[in-house]
Amino acid sequence: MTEFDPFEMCRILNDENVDYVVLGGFAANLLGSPITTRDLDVIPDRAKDNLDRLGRALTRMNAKIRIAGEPVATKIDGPFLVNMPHMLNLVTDFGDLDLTFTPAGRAGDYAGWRLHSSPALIDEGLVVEVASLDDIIDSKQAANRAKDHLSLPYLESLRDEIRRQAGE
Amino acid sequence: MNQPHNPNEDARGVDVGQIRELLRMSVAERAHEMVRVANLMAKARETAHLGRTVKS
Repeated sequence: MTEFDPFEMCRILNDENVDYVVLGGFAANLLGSPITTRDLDVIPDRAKDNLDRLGRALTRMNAKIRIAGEPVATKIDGPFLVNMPHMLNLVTDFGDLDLTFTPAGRAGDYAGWRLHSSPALIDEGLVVEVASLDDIIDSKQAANRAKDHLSLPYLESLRDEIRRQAGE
Repeated sequence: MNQPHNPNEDARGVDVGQIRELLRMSVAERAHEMVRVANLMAKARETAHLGRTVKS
């Protein structure tokens, strides 16, 4: 079993100067959600140069395409990523990594998610952009999947608690 | 039969005590704690699965 190590994945993404925002369950954890996750969800900027850098980062992580059964090894570079319309589920040496290009919800594309994201220090010398809790909740509501229905009460209670502590 | 009520549970049935505990930590502490628990749970599931496979 591969140990889930989102820190190393983010470190490599940062190392290659990839522009991305962390969203999904791990972003929710960073914000205070108690629901554990075993994958890292990110939305990368779709600019060509950025996808080239992302391709280099994925090669360093030994990323393979995650499908039912054995993962598929293929060259995942900028030109390959340009042709990915919505999402790409990957398995890496550091756990599962999901690239999402068009997440559900109002935030829309990378620029929309980046608008409300905040930088967070998640490990020594490792700063990542984390999606806002409002955008994560909105996206999960819009996605409307069974797993989202399970996590939404926790995220809404987290938002209530953060507001209560802020005296809102 | 009535279940004992958890005083930390809110109207959604969420244990807010757990959330408060996480909010007291720094982001990095939270991140490491959640990853530690996720890996521990995965390992426990794998061990349980192996146990069942060996028995059957």
